[in-house]
Amino acid sequence: MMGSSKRPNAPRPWLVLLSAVWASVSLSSPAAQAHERFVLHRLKVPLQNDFFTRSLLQNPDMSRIGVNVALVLLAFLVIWMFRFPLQEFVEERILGRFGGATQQVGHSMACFLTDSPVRHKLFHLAGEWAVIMLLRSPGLVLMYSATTDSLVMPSFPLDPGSATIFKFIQAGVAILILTQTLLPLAGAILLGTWLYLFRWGWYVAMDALPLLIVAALYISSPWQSYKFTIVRLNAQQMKWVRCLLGLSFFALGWLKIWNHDLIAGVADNYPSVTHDPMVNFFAIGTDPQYRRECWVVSFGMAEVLSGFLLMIGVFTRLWSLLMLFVMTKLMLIDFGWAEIPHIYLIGALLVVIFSNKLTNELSRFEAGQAEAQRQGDTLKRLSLLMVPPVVLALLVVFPMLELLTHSDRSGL
Amino acid sequence: MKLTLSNSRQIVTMTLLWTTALFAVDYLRHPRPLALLFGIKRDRVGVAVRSTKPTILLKVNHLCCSGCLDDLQAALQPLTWVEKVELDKSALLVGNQYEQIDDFSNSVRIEIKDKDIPRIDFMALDRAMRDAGFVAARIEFSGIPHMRLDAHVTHLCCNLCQVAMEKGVKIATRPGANSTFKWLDTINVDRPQKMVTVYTHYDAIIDVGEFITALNQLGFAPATLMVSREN
Repeated sequence: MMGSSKRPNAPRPWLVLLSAVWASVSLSSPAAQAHERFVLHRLKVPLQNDFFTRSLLQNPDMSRIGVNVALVLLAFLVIWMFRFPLQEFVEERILGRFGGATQQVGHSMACFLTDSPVRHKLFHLAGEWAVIMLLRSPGLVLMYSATTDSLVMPSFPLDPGSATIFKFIQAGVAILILTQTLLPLAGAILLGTWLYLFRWGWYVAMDALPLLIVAALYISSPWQSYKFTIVRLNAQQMKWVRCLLGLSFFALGWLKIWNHDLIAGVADNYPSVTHDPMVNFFAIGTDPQYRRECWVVSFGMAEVLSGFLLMIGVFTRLWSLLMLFVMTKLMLIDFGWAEIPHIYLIGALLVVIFSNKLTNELSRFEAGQAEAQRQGDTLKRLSLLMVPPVVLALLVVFPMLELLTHSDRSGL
Repeated sequence: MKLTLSNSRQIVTMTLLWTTALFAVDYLRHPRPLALLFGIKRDRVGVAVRSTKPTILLKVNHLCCSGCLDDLQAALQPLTWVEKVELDKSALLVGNQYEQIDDFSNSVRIEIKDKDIPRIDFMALDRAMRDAGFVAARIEFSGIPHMRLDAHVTHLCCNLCQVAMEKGVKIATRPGANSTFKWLDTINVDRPQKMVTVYTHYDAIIDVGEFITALNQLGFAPATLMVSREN
């Protein structure tokens, strides 16, 4: 049993991934095409395209969705900044009246929700199992892709001329992964494969962004990985998992709004996906005349919101749990077998949920407000608690949403 | 035990070598212009130009000269719903950048007047071509945003025939099967009327030839194959 730890000669995942992203952008194609093969996505009825190209100032429905999302984001950020006083209040004032067992359960629940370490044997065991699942499930996904004439995911169909070679290559990499042999090499191979995916178009390659999560873990594993069962990740590895997971959802959310016909087509073929309470909540107050268009924007924004909160580490476990529910539902109920490659995404979400090494990117503001509290500077304290959430809520939602209304969709 | 971790140089080198190897294998197995290989330019070969007027695009694997074209035009003349038959020059402009020298294929565009849409019969078209010694590799129909195809299959005698038809089409149209059927939305088999109705996706280009081939492979030959507008 081991937890991978940082060594002086450890690779710098940020440098490697940055190089990967740079190389990808340099290879990116101007034309984007959706290649989702096994999930039906043809539009049954066209969308009202002008909805997506009207500026926010002239589009009250899209603006309304933006406001709804910004308010929810703001609420979560503000609650996050006050989470410790709130936890203290709940544990002392409310749970204090009950017995020890209730207090303990309440404390564990509070720790879970506030991303603090949860001290429970079962929680640790689940966390260890989740790491094994995340590290090994990509092997199964590669095997599945090989049997369906695709590369990594069904979105990337293989050319008949080279299919056999690529299928054998995938089987070879899958064996490396399943036996945990030479994991850094497996990580480099996954990174290299992800760069190669850009030949299907940059937009389609973004679909495989979560592949970078396992690639980052593999390249930061020791060469002697086959001699150990890796069951724990260090704080740095967890940060990579969290940030890449968040980035994947964040980017895919915006891309859903950009390439609106694709997700609307999926909804046309699988109407059950439209019954999502959170997505429908974001569309509250919009014109029923634009029901489908608003659903598309709300769906994309829901992913943007959850992705952003994961990226900055705010209520990571809660959002991961929600995403886990959505992903599992899509796989088992809505799309079925066609969504099986998402199994490793589920593994990543489980790792985050059961990790006791979660960090967040707002800690510097929290440290600042703690310092201001010590100095008795209430104004500075309040501004550090309130200004970052407001600025973030505005900056995350509106500029990009407005930019998308001016974007060129002719290549789609 | 002393653990050895990889370093950035190793990872970057292995990654780039791997990417290069994948592109190299891809290129060696399927040589094509580098712009297409790197995804900078999309492969447009075989992609039909979407028409706003009811149009049939016939891809004929042997249509080498004006003599062939004249024969084909003569063969289609008895079909009174055909307004105009001409060589499709857009296909020449769009595709065939790396066409082989011994490729004698060409595409023919058939235009149809709106009022004649109910009279289109793709089986009559197929028969007329075969009688004249031609066969279409693809029969694409476009120009109607939402439509349905009605195939009159005279042999649909029992429930087993109906089940065979329904299951067979389902297998043929399943994602991942050899055929694509990207245009097909739903299918309905009406045994008493001996009719197989196919509803298409909105604004799709219909590959009628693909549908006829699928029916033939199931052991059925439609007597007529008509098209109608759907609201």
